[in-house]
Amino acid sequence: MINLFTLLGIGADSEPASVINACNELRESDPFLAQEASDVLLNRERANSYRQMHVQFKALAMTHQRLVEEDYAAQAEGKAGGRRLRGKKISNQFKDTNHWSRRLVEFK
Amino acid sequence: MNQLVHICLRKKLPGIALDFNFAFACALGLGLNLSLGTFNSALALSQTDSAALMLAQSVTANDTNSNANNDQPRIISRPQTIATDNDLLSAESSQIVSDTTSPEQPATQSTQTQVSTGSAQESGSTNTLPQWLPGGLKNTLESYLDAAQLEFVGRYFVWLLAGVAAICLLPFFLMATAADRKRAVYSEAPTSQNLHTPEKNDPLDFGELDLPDTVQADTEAKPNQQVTGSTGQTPDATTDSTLSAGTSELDLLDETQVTTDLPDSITSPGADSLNDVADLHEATIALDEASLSEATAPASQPITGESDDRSTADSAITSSTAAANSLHSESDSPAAIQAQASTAVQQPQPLTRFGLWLYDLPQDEGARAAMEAFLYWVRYGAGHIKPGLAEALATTDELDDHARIKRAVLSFRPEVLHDILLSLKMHLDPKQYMPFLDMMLAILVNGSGVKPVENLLLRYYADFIGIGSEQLDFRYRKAHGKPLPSIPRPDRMKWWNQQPTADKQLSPAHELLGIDESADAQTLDRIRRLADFRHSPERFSLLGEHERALIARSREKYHAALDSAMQVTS
Repeated sequence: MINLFTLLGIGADSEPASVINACNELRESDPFLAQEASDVLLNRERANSYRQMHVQFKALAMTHQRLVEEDYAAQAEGKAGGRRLRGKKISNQFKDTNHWSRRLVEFK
Repeated sequence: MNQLVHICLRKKLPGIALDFNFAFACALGLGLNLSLGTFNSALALSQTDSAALMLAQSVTANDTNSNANNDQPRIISRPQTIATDNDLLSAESSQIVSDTTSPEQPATQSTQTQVSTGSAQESGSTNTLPQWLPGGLKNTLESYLDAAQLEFVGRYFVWLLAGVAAICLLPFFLMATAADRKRAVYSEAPTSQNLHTPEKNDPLDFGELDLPDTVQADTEAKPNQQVTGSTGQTPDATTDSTLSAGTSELDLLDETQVTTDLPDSITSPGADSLNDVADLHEATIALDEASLSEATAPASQPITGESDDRSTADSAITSSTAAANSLHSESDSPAAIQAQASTAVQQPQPLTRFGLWLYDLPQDEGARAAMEAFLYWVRYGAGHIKPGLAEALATTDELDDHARIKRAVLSFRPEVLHDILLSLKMHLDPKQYMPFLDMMLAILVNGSGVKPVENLLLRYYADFIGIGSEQLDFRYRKAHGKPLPSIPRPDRMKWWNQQPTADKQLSPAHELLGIDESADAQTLDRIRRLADFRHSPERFSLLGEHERALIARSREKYHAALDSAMQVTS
């Protein structure tokens, strides 16, 4: 999912007027994305749904980095797979069937 | 057997696969032994027949040449033991001779000598083989090997056996290792280094992750004082009346909930956290020494979803960390610090005070709280937030566990999701992962379909517990009778254009069931069967009593909705 707020350079709680201005600025360089952003963020239902997903992507980006990628990085460095939490082995069995890394890079 | 092994490996159960392999090897050994025994029996029979034939020829030749004892019939018969006993050759073969021929016959002597020579050779070498060897195998070895070879085999028999077993197990070990290597290859995928390049004002700038540790500042922020979403909704006037219900019990299934926009606290960074600073001291006192030592590990960095939030790092937690450091002054040595740094990446820690609270709960209680927190995260994330709840929680000083969870979730800080997922791993038995997924499919997703946020989080949870989308889709189909929609893309108009539009307002019952008033009795019957399956108690026997009660309530709700819809249909 594209981070439209970053793309437009606005905050997630920006007023519609700010969204319109930002879209107009973007239209010069990328008219297609500007139109997409405008259609999504200036419609109440779509904007609300997008904001909900934005919150989740933001949370997943951080969680994925902390819980999954660092663990795989540790394994790649030759450290024991899985982690320990209070002595309990927390095995990392993440199965990336939804290509989260790619999605989160796109979100950034 | 191979199928079973492959299934186990596909399901990442190399331990069980090896068990199967061991059983397979045992079965193979047993089968081989039995086969050798049978072969040996046949061999013994043929050898005895050969001996008998030779004996007959000798006798015939002897009769012809010497004309001795013409009147005495000579009966050459096979001893009974041949047909019934596999352990023979040495004793029985000599017995053959003695039973069927007279000892004074030269030919018999010849045969006896021939056979007994082999017997002597065999009896001399039998001592070199382990006594516990099955007779069939022992005799077969003795038949095919000479004395020197038998001695070698006898001396190194255990090692030879181990070598054969190792060769049998080697392919499976290699397969298991290859599976692990395949997983490790994932680490070459985009990582934190290229995932989040810090930029100014980047909402995903999480800061440098390798800074010296402090326990993450409080993130159990009180939600904003007003539930005013992006569309300007105002709190319900009945805030006071909803306070008790909202803070004392689960409202996951509450019919009165409405879908609202997210609170401002979600989209307005920096508005939270400050109010909880004073409470943190109390929380840190409760930390035991183990918690403190873990809290001082250098891995946990203040990671915030918004750059503004860094300024709200909690001084109380920081001071408690300093106190912890003073308690563990011996860990200040360079070697200890290096050791801590080397193990830091393997010790994930909660990042919020709420996470520490979850972290410290006993196993069962922690599992219940973690599941409840994730349920609320999904439900509130999809917009099912009771009007006025956030305000009520923000103004309440006395928080029970449910209210505490709700308040933390309503902050929607990324660290809270991190801590919830970490707590799920920490407290849940892996056997509970799937029942919990089924529980979410039963009580979160209603008949009108899965919401985008629910879809996203269910997919992440499925990957997080290692089952993936395929298994998730399978369980979703079984629970709801239709496939799980693809991962939502609300940033694309192409996706929006594919979404169904709600043309008319439905009653709550019909909306819950995902049907309109024109649904016939057959459709309702199908929905009832699906709902009964989703809520069948035996599917949740591994969950706690609290979760089972929640599922029972959800089932009652569906039955009430079905009864209501049935009345409309009839």
